[in-house]
Amino acid sequence: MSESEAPFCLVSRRVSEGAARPGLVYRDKPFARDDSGWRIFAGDEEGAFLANPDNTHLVRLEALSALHPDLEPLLAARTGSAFERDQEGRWRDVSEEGQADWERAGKRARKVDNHR
Amino acid sequence: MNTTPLHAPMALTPEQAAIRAGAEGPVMARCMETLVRYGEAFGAPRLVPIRSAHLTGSFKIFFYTAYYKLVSELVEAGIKVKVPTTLNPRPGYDYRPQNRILFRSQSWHEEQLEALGVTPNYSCVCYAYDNIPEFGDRLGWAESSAIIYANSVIGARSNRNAIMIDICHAVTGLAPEFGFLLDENRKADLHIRLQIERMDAAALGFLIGKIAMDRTPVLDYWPFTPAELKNMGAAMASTGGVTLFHVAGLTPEAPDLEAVTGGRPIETHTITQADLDALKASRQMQKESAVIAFGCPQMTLEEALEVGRHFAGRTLKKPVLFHLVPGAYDAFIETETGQACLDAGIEVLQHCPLAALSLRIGIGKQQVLTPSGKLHYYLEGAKYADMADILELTGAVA
Repeated sequence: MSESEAPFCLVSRRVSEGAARPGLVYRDKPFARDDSGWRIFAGDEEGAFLANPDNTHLVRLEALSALHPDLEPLLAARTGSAFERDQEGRWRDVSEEGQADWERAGKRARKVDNHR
Repeated sequence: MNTTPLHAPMALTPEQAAIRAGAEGPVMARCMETLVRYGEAFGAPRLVPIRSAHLTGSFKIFFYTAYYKLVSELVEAGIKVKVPTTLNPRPGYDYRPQNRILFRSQSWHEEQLEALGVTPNYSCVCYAYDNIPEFGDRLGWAESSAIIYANSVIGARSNRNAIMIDICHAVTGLAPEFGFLLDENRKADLHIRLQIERMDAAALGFLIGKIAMDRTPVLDYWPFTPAELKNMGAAMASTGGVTLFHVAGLTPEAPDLEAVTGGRPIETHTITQADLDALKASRQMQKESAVIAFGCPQMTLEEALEVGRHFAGRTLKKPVLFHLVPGAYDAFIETETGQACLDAGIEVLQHCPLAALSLRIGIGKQQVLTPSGKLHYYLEGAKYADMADILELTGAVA
């Protein structure tokens, strides 16, 4: 199964139980065959909430994007991608935010390598 | 489950037996029970007082669920550590949006540990600043690089303990008496002969770990500096399970080869200059690296000054990261050398390079070049070079 077809994502219960909409989402390296790598958070979760592993759980991507259709266009993004809602509620690509020049340079070099 | 001990039951004092039975509450009973079972598995006859503890569980990044639960329960019960207890480095900074999520629970975890009374030193080099043992002290430490230094260079005594066991040591102030706490297990059983012209202590440690595995090596005399002993031991404890090493004529339990072997014949292995040089990445691979990382274990003030002086007035040809003991950070950047390093563009950091680089660049990315044997071993894809090559590559020396 390719990463893009993997059905599950790891979701904060604040999102999956409807208390908040997704506000910070990113695609990590998958930890299992069925894991798409997507991590979905409201973005306002507190430390004690995040420290409890019961507060994040695996959900099918299709079920989550049915609940939050504006996630759908993001889900094809590559591993390492991150998106955050701005104040108007629009998704903003923050994948390279906070990276040093050498990190960006390394990633560009790897992309070139991957296409050889 | 069969809970029959492998060895004879441990003899507990009345006070220890009462804690095990719940006199100080259920969570302390569980900690005592854990130590008793740990000790009995290794044939320990009793629990002994320790001078200090050191915890490896400083990260809160979605692992170690049972450990976080135990820490929370100890805090809720109002328990405090019974001996001075220090803590491993922080895993990095919230550089990126996704790190912000991770680091929110990191802050929560740090508050929990500090509520237990743990010293917030955030360093794997605890033995040089905040948790300095003396010869013969018994310790309940985790963190293999700290344990091997305390055992070998200071002559203190700790087994190679794991997360969960370390916190049980801290809150009870006790450790089961077995292994490296006992005289009879501290003799050398492997002789490492050195045929070396240019010492590269981290590479030597890397090779010795693979040869020795869980044995105790004694090396021929070499006038190693404290920083070299730190970096060599850390590498040895990474590539192998080495917990104690000796250097004949240098370390405190090895006045000479005869004394440290007890006069017994032991296996001998020779390491040559060619062996050390073979660990280095090729020149081409070194040139292709994106960043140079120093400090795994974290750099002490003396080490940062020694390495940093080469960068004064230079222009970096490659990005360079220094990972310092937090207790040395302020002193370093206040020196002329520290300022010169910052002016040259070196990033001076205070966290764990292994965790932070994994978070920053992801695992398996071949971007990092390091003179640390430990980082080379643990950071997948990291390449190794000796100090001379790295100083040349970064433009620190012509």
